[in-house]
Formats: sequence, structure tokens, C-alpha cells
Amino acid sequence: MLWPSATRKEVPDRTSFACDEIEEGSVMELFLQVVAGGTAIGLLYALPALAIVLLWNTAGFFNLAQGDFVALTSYFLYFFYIMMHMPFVLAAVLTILCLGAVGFIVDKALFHPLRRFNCNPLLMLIVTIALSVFLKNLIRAIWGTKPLSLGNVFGETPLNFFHAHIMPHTFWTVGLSLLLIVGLYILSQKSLLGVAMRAAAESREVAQLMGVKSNFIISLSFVISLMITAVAGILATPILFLIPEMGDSLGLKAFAATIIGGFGNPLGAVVGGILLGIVETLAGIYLSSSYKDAIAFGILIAFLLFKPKGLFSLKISEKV
Amino acid sequence: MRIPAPGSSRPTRNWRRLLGPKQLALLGAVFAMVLPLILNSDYLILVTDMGAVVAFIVLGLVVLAGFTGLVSLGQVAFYSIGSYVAAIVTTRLGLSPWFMLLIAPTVAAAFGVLVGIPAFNLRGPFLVIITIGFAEIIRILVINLEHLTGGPFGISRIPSLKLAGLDLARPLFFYYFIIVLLALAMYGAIRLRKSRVGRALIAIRDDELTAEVMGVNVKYYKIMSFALSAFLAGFAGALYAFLTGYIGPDLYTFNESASYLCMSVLGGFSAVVSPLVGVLLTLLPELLRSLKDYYMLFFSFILMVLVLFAAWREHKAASSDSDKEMGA
Amino acid sequence: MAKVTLEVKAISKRFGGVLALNQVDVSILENSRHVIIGPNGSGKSTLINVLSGVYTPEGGDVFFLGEKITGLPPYRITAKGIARTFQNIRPFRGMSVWENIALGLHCRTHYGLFEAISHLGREPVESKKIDSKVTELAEFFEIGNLLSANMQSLPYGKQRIIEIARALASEPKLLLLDEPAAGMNTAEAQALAQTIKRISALGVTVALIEHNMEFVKEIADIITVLDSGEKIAEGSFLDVQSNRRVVEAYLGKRVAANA
Repeated sequence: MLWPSATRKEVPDRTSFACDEIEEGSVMELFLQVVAGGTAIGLLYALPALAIVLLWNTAGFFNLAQGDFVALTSYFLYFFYIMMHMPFVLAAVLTILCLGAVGFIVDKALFHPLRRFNCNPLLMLIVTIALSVFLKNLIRAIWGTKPLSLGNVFGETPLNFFHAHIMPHTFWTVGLSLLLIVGLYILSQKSLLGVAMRAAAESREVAQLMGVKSNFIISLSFVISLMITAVAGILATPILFLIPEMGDSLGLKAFAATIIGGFGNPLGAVVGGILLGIVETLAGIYLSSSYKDAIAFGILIAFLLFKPKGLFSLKISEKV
Repeated sequence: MRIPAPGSSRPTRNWRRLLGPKQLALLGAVFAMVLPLILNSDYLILVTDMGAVVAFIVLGLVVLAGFTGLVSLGQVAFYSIGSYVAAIVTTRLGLSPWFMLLIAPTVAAAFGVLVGIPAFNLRGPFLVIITIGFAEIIRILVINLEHLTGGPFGISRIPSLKLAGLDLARPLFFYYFIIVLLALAMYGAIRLRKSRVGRALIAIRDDELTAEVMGVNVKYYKIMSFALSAFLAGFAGALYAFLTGYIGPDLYTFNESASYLCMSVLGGFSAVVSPLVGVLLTLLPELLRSLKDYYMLFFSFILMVLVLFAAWREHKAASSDSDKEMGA
Repeated sequence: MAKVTLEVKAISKRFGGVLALNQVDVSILENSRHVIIGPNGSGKSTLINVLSGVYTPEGGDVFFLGEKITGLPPYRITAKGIARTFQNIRPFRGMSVWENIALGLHCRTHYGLFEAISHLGREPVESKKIDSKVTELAEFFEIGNLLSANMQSLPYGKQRIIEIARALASEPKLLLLDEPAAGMNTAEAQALAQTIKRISALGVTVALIEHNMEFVKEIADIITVLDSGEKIAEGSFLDVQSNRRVVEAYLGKRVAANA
């Protein structure tokens, strides 16, 4: 229910190919559509996943409310674009700014004090769960439970890409996401801020000794992680139905992406997300779309059991 | 306990003796007996019954997360399994509901073991995620295995429990039935906490490595915790099915799991307070109808404030201890 | 000939590129007080971790009372009769002192979930046993008045004692202590030395890591010296004190040359 149109609009019905006469071209078409569609969905998982890893690396906690921040983004976007009738780009920018502001408030009011009190990780986890419930209910209180929709923002007509029919939304998603990811990478490697954040991620104490204001860095990473999530939300909203619980499935898949890709590894989170998106799309076509989500979670569980370090792990084992 | 200043006669000690745990329990029992009279409405008593059902799930979570430190957001899956096994077997195979009150939770407990075996290795957030994933898989399976579970339409006409000619689906009868069971379960949990098993669980929660080095078989106790919490949730599921006679997939969503955890935390992970919070938070929105839509909003907010407060207190305590250490 | 309680044969342990222990052999004799010393990073804690099952060695074996225990999980090793404490104090914060010590008895008492809940079966007898054992230990360590306290609110020295009491609760034949005198002043260390002698008198073999040389001199029967993961000397305090390699390890080659 949460991902209604992305795959169905892009992939032609299987029955349109007769089983015994599949031409080369149509397999290629199918393949491209699956890859494109899967990658787009995957990036929508990958961005929040990246945000989660970023926060974990610098701040050392796991934000279980990430999916609900995506939901919040969608509702803010709805507010600016539909209810206030603003042009889409303006609405999107305002949404990102609003999410940043929300991040700032949540950090100052909740996470910063908890850090100062040396809160134990169990309580931290519970706080993010409480935050998640709070956000869902806040959305419900303000916008109600009736499913809302943004309408098709990026255009209805599929574009022709090497004989494959691909929706403009896919192009926008892949394009903007990759741009953002590359931008973040450059920021982290080349800018002073990026270096400071990476230092804080590796060792908070040493970074502090080196003059990095570690609390500021952590607050900043929370805000940045929310803004990344906001971009994902903006790209995802046009293809989703807005309900207060919409963040749950997305959030869980973002976590799955971080684990599949190797926990703590930002590149892994992105790759994990894309892989998850493609596998989910494939499963939706060849198995059953109603079990699509179950398969995604099954993969998650399989990884947690058999390959808990993920594909590209960076974690070092604990010394007693 | 405070030492009274010399020369002052403190009433403190006396009222403490008046309100010891035994006295509180008695007070609670009396209150529980007369509650239906206070509520004075079959509907409200039914809601209280449902709250008592939830209390069992919360109690399970107190054992799992409170005692053993394993945070789970997937308890609703065991609740669901308990309900569906009870419903399917009594409606399809015609077995007695009383029998299912034992079998359904056992099946749920088996799933608990299934989750516990891989999960014992996982820390904090990873464990939470696997429980969420598990619950989602169960939810999807239930919706899709239509010939077994009735899919989106659920299962109806589930027989009720009958005791000595009384139909326990009647809210008032069910009420007295369930509060006795709940009291027994809470007592059991308190006994568990005081026993060697309880100590092992707390040790695992506080310092898993040290617990293992002290001789605790961590893997076994973690799995046992999962099984016990699943058993309680499955028991609740079966009770619910026999109370209302109808179950459907919308009853078993992720939101429920989140609210069970909130209830546990709000009760301080206490074997007595948390389940009662569960009853209260189920009953309250019905009593305060106008606020019904907003109660979770308030309580999640209160929860965050409470956690902030608890963390602040711990921090103060820890820093005053380290001052002591410096001096000592 | 004295019986060997613990036989460590050619133990090697690697962490990534670092060889923390390199073919270490140690024999711990029954009822002895065996001290392991060495400069920082020499592998002492790693050795204790291997002996208690926290780490699995890459090479070599550990034999306890003739039985091979290499690779067993820690709780099984504890059940067999080896108990240990850690360098950092690790109390169970959610439990009182009494409960912490009672936890030490976990592997020596046996009743399960159903018996716990229902007061039936073995529970009543085992509970009495736990009660009396904890009282006994509290008397031995003179901490009877602290039993209901929360460990964190107690002074550091007392916390150390309680940790040892907790370890002793599992009725070990071998007690491993990781820097028990750390952070103690002279008086406290003296008291601890006496306590360890009393533990010895009970028939328990004690092996410990220490840096405090006065303390070591007071209690050690045999000393093993490690440096960079290797055993470089073994013997009485006097033997070790005058051993050139030992001096080198601690103070550097030039000082040793001038000594």
C-alpha cells in the first residue's frame, strides 16, 4: 500500500510478453526498467540510511524515528505545495529548512541534554522510539488520518531511455540523490567541517582535545542528517499516499539498508539501499507484490543472522 | 529509609508500615473488586477487559526489556500468533477454548524461541530492528494467507470460554476472571525477579560479559526471556479472541508494539505498575472521549520528559558518587 | 610434588596485526599465590581473558585440573571452578550488594523458571543455601553492613572487596584477579594482601596481575613476568627482582646495563 505506483507505472504487465516469443529488445527494456525503478526506490532508502549512519558515526546513537521524519517531510511538503499553493521548488526548499529547524529544536531540547547526562544507550533508544510515536501522533493530530496525495509533480509521460519507458520521477530521484551523495562526500573529504566530523566520528575525545567542539558537531550532524532525510522525503512524496504511519515501512527499510551495506559505512548504506530497492522491485515482479515487503525484511533478517557485519563492514571488534 | 532526627517523633515510620507492599496489594485488590461498580457500564468494563489483556503483553515486555534489557518492538507478533492460533483451532477443529488457552501461548513461545536464537547475539538497535522486521513479516503473512487466517476479513464467531455455566465473554464475568489471572501473573513476575533466574536476567541487562563470566549461560536466559514474553503475549492474544469473538489483522500493527513499550517504560518497567499503566492507558481514552485522539501524543511526550528526568537523576547520582570517590 | 591446578601451554593470541601473546607457558600450582607482572601492554590481561574463556587463543591449550578448557565459553569455565575479577570494577548496577554476591552463586545453585515462580521443587532449599552462603561471605569480608546498599554508592576499596566476594561465591578452585590493588592506598593494599592470604588459607589457588611491587612482594609465592606477549622470567620475588631481562623490560636497556 505504501509503494503503489513506482513499479507498476514503469514496468509493463508481464502478460504483454508471450512466453515463447521474448525478443531481445524487450528483455533489455525490462532490465533497464527494473534497474532504473529499483535504483530510484533504493536511493529513497539509501538517503535516510546515510542519515542514520552519519548520526551513528558522529553521535553514537541510532535514530529509530528516522522514518517518521520522512513522514514529517512529506506532510510539510503537502502543506506548502498543496495547502499554501506554493510553487514546488519553493515548497521543497521551505520543507528542507523546516526539517532543519525541527532538527535543531529536537536536538537542543532532547538529545543534547541526554548526552550531557550520559544517558545509557537503552534509554536513548527508548527516547527515539517515544519520539517516533510522538511524531506520528502529531501528524495525525494536525493532518488527520485520511490518506493525502501530492499528485504527479514530475510529469505523467514516461521518457524513452534506450527503448525503456522510464518515468521522469525516476530521473529526478536518481539525479538529485546522486548529486547530494557526491556533494556530501566532497564535503566530508575536502572541507574543514567534513574533516572535523570525521574526526569526531572516529574518536570523540581526541577530536575534543584537538579543538573540535564535539557537541556542536553532533548537533550539526543531526541537523544535516535530517536535511538529507528531507531530500529523500521530498523525492518520495509524489509517489506515495500520505498517512501518519507512512514512515514505518520506509524507516525499517532504511535500517535494513544500513545493515546490509555494513553498519557504520556510509558508502555501504547507499549501496545497501540501492541493492534493497532493486531486489525488492525484482521480487515484486517475479514473486508477488504483496510479499514484496516481507521479502525485504526477510533479507534484513538473513543479513542480521548470517552476515551481521554487512557487505562492507568498518567496525572493529571490542577489546575488553 | 531516613533516620529520624533525635528527639523528633516522626510519623513517617508509622505510615510506611501502614502502606507496605502487602497493604498496598490489599488496597489494590479491593479497588479492583469494586471497579466495575464505579465504571457502571458494560462497555467500559469491556474496555477494561481489553486493557487487562494488554497488561499481560506489557508484563511480558517488562521481563524481556525491563529485566533482561532486550528491547523489542515486535511483541504484537506474538499477540497476533496467540490470537490466530486460538481462533483457527477453535473455529476449524472445534477444540475447547480452555485447551487453547494453554496451546496458543505455547505456540507463540515457540516463535519466541525462534526469534531469540538468532537475536541473542544482537545489541540494542539491531535487536529492535529484527523484532520490527519479524513483526512485519508475521503481519504480512497473516494478511496474505487468506485461506488460513481469513486475510483482511479476519476470523469471526470464535467460541467463548465457559465456566460453570457462565459465559466468560460477558464483560463482567471476564473481568473477574482476568484480574485473578493478572494478579497471579504479576505475583509470578515478582517472584521471578527475586529468584536466581531474575538475578541472572538483571545481570545480563547490566553487564552481559560479566554475567557470563560469573557463570550465567547468557544465551539460554535470553532465549528464555523471549519465550516467556512471547508466552504472555500469546496468552493475551488467546484471551482477546475468546473475549470478543472476532479478530482481524488491523488489531496487530506496529503502533501497538510501540505503545506496549511506552506503557512498560511509563510504569518504570515494574512488574506491578507497568501492566496497570497498560490498563489505564487503554481505559483512559475511553473515559476522556474528547481527548481520545490525543492521548498517545500526550503520553509519548510525557515519556520523553520522564526519560530526560531519569537521565538527569542518574547523572546527578553518578557525579555525587564520583565526588565521594575522590574524597574516599 | 605439588599438583598443577592450571596448565597453560604455548598460548598465542592475536588481535589483527598485533601478537598479544606469543607461545606463553605457565604452570599454576595448587593452593599457590601466583602473581603475573610486566610492563603495560605485555599481555597480562589478555592472558587472564584467555584463561577465563573471554578470548579464544589462536594457538596452544589451557588445562584445568587435567581437563582441557581451551575454547569453552566463560560460563562453563566458571562452572568448572575458575572465577575472576576485572581490572575495572563491573558491578551489576540494578542489584544490591547482596544480590551481586548471590549472582556469584548462580552456577552453584540449581532451580529453574517454574520452581522460581512457584516456590516449589528445589527452590526453597536452594534459596536457604544462597542465604547462608552470602551471609558467610559477608562475614569473611566484613561487609555485612553493606549488603543492602547499591554498589555504586560505596567507596572504591569496598567495591573491589565486594567484587572479590562475588567471584568467591562461585566456590572456585582458582581465583583470577586483575589488578585488585589498583587505586588503593598503602593501608588498603595491606588489608587486601591479608585478605588474599586468608583466601589462600581456604584452599583456593590465587593467580593475580599486579603492578604494586610492595603488594606483590607481600603475597607472591611465584611470579611470572611477561613482556610484549612473552614470558621472560619466572621465580620468587628475589629471583625476578635481580633478573636482568626483567629490569630491561621495565626500565630500558641502558639502566639495566648500569645496574
